[in-house]
Amino acid sequence: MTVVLATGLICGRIARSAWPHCSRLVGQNLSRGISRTARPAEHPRIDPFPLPRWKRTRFGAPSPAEIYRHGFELRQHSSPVRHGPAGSAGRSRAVRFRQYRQAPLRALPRCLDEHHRVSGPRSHSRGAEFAEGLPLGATALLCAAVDGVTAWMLLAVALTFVSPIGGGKEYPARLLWLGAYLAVMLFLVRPLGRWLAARRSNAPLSYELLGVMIALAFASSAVTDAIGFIRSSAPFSPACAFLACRRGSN
Amino acid sequence: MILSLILLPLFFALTGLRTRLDLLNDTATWLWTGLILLLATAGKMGGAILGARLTGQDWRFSFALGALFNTRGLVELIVLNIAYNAHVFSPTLFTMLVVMALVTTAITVPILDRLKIGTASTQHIFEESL
Repeated sequence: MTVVLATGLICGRIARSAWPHCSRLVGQNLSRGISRTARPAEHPRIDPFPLPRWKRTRFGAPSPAEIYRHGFELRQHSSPVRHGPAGSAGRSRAVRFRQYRQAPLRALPRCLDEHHRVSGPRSHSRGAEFAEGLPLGATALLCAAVDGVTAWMLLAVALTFVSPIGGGKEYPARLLWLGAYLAVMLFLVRPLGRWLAARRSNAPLSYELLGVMIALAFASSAVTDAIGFIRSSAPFSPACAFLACRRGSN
Repeated sequence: MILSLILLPLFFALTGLRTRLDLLNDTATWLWTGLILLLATAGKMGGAILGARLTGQDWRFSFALGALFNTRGLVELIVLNIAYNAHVFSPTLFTMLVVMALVTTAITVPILDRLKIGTASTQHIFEESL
């Protein structure tokens, strides 16, 4: 509770100084979009402005850059004429539903763009809800991020005390191994992944590359487990491999 | 992104398979689950509400922030799984904590609805921007 309290205090201050005039709810958009973003299926019938075929991966999951670009295109296309007068209350349920179905690719760009969008005078006059306060969603996300980092650090401390991880190596040896592991990941795997990504920048993701990425992730997990330094780093290693492979693909 | 698409469902499935709801079979364990739930909610929601109040927000905003903060996600489940692997938690405690995570996450939307956040009052903002 103390941790959360401190986090809330700090992040509240940061959020308020970062977005002094924000009146929109970031989390609102995110909650509608994020589950669909993580979904591998495409919605070709519903999406009126689909990405060009060559921009898509085989699994239908666009990269962040593609999401952003796509969202940007969508915003430029969607004029008030297309969707009826702005803020009209008498919109039918079907139309609204369809708009929600289109939401996935917009969630990220809209979060990123939130700050610019709300600074217009129109939004100011209308968003009477939190006009004077700070954006709820932004605060929540910010706090959650800091909270997550704190939780990981507390977990590391707790694991140091709780589990001696029987059969593992001695502490200095583990540290050495960890250094070696990090060096390999950073200076060998990451350039390799960057080279791979650059080589096949616009091609769809092939099964071979997917296999390589998964094998890399599992190998990395196995290594961290064998080192026995932190078992909790196992969830991180796919992230490392993912970062390494995805790097430079934009 | 591709890797998390593939591996993340496996992780959740593993957590689900480890959750043995049949262990919560008497009143005492359910009471303990309730106590855990109360403590967890007090810890996260209370902390967030206090923090928001101390930085000068109104009660509605504070409760909304607390409700948003009260959700448990991936980190919680990872911590649970690690503790389970290290034999710190018994299967019963693991199940209780998973139930707590599920309940606290599930009540977020009802609370926000009750506070009328993200429903009618802000609907037009969302629609207009589409």
